Amino acid sequence: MGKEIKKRTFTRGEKLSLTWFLLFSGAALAAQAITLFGQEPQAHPERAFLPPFTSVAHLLGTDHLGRDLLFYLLLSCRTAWLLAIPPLSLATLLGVVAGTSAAILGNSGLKVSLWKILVLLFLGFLYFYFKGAVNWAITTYSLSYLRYGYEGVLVFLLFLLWGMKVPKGLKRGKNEVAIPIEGALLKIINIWSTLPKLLLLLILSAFTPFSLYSLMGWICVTYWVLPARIARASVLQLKEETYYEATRALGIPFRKVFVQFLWPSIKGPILTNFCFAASGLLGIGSTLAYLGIGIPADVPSWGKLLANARYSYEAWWIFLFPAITLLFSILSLQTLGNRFSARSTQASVTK
Amino acid sequence: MKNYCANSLGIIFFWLLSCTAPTQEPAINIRLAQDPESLHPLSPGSAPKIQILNYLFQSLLATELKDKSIQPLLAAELPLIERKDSMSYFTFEIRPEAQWDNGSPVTAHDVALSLKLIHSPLLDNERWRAQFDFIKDIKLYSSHPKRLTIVCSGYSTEMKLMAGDFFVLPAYIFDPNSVLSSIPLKLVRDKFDSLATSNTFKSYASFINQKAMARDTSFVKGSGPYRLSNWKTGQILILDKKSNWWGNKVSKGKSVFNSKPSKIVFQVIPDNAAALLALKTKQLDLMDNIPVVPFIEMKKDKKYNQAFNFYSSPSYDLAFIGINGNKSYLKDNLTRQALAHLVNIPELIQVLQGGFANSTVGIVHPHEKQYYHTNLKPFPFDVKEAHRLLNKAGWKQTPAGWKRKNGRNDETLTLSLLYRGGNSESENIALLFKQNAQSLGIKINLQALESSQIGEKLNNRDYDLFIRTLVGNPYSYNFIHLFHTSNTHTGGANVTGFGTPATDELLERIAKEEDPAEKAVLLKKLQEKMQEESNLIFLYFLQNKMAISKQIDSVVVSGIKPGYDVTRFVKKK
Repeated sequence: MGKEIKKRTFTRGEKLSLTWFLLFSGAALAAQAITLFGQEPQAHPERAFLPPFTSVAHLLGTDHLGRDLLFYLLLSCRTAWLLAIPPLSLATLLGVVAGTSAAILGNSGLKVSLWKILVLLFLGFLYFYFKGAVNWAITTYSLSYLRYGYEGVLVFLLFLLWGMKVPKGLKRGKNEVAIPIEGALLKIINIWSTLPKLLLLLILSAFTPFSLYSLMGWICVTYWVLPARIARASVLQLKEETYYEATRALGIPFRKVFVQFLWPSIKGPILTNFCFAASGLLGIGSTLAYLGIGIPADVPSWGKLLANARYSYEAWWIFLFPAITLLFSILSLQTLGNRFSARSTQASVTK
Repeated sequence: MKNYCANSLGIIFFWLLSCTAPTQEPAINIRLAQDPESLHPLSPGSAPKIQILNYLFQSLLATELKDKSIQPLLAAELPLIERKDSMSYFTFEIRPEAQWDNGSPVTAHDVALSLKLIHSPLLDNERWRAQFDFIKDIKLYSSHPKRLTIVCSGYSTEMKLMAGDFFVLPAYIFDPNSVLSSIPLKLVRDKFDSLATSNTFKSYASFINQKAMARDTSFVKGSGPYRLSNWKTGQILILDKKSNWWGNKVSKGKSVFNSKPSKIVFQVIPDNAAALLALKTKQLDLMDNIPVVPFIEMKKDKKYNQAFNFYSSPSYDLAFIGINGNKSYLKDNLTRQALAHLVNIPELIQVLQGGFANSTVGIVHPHEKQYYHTNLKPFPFDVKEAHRLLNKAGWKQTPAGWKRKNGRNDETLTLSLLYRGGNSESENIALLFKQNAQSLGIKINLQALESSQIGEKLNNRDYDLFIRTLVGNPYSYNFIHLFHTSNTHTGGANVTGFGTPATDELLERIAKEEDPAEKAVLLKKLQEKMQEESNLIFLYFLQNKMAISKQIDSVVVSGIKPGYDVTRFVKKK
């Protein structure tokens, strides 16, 4: 404590990586704007396999359907960015919340009254028991509003029963159940982390129709594990520190404790993990597109270009340009991850 | 020390390599684009399944791939045909040499059992049952166990082949307890429903439907020249020639009895690029349906020209876009015709097939000149005409898409298009169609699915549009199971809901018609009607782009599936 951390300047590689990442993000943003205006890569089959640098209109050439490669690569940046950054941000947030809660609450920190559990179970049972009948009525009599009525009644019941006076025999204090947050989370993490991420995504994406947004959802479901593990381990370590005990003794609200004392210590490993996971996701997103799984045919992706490039050795540009873009994007995130890793090692007392 | 170890290991490795025994006769390595999944001879199946079953089982008659002629296979001669009133009688004599693997002869009882199984309830035989519905009975002769007469309703030229074009199954495997032997075929047909409720038949059906029948080497064996020796699902399927096959005694001068390769290895490689790599490294001797770009590139390359011969033979594989006429927004033929005007077929043939495809107006191959409607032209790509047709059908173009009143509600013309995921040709057709439709303001959602998922959606009529390939042949023009309204029910083969009473009558007449001239008139009428209804947008008949190793002699390629005759292949060492 008290030791000043030496400020680390950016190396040339890190500067290049940061520039590339910013360019990549800028291209993704521009592509998002273009997509919002309804622009898509147009196929001009009569111009298929045009080599690069032979036409001003198609600087990087065209693909097998005569689509402009430069425009296609630009739109692919959006796909790659959307598959990596937003779902990973959400997954990291979920992981940090879950990991921190597990570390703080342990297996006995959260107690819920038996009454509330019974209410939830009862309403859950009601919901699934009558769901089939309601769906039947909706499709048979075209009563689309019935769903809202049905769900509204259940929400009303929830509020009513939640706030109701607890019946005798189920009085608070006597009948509270401890929720084993930490044990449950560890078990889920153990199961989840045994499955390779690509395999897990391949399986999960089969459950929903192919769409960019459903794949983002599945990535979020898959990638929360490591941040949760990191957050839990770090917070468990910090809990033993005297300053943490002092904050608890002083009655400082947890939100403030987390922002001022916990987050500065865990953000290094979390950001490092974020960068490496994002670089991995760029590869996984392209692999899925290459395999034709998860991403619809009309969503541009580097992986799709690479898949099409397999058929033609003569059209080298269909392989070269997406491969370079993908490689540089992965390398830039890896380099940034290394920087965060080095910083957190430097800052760590256990280095 | 390290170097010493490395050198020793290297020497041992080379010694092991040099000790590898040379294979006796080189196997023919063929690429299969998909696993056959099942080798049950009764259930419907994919082209690879039928191809492999043809090497294991035999029918009474077969087609000679070289000249498309009909030849006797298990039958000693072509059948004696007799026609009385509305019935026709095909009398066959089974070859005296024909026998099963256990040494017992192939008899008329085996043929009768095969027909009974095709017409039995509770079995997965619906497709075959519809196809062989014209076979009403079979007559056996107690004094001649190898003679039989197949009784058919009506007569048509296709029956010359179809009356004997079903797999003859061994009764000792398929009916070991003689459950069906005492029940005449006529009774199986007449008492179809009551048979389905009988407990004896239920347990028999579960015996026939068991998984082992579809893949166990002890069950999947017939009178054909090959036996299934190994099958690793999704990887490899090996057929070995039977050492003492009965056909060797009669094969002289009869090409349908060819069985020259001693081993045929089918390598299951679904991915085209991976298969191409295997071909280029000579792990495959034959690859068919090569994608157009590598096919053209390989043809130009001197290196591959030294190793392979390249063929592009016309096939009866018809690529089409199916439209679900059961949906309210696709019910009228004007809307469907409008969609047909949004497909640029010449562009698809040129760009996606490199010109290796034949444009068609309908279900008949343009090479079948007698039956093809040459005066009818496919709908041209015409966005303005599509616009006019949509307006005529009651659709109004709005900023939110094409809308139409349907009762109280507005319906929007937003369509989903199903195609097989991983199939680059279908994907490209889908992308180009989507672009054309979008130019008219019709939103198309592309859905790449597994083949089985598409099949399920088609069976449940839960789709708008789909891209598929129909495998045809030049022998049969009986389209009842595909296009008759009696097959529009859930699970029926008429998935697009095509048909009117007039087309039903046409289909029935075509199936029965004997006179080729009259049949031609009817088929041309059907082509007109199909274009008018436009439940199917016919794209083109594919050409099979093949590469066959120059090590292989006696190559015969054909338009009929599988497109080559592997039984004639001789591989030079």
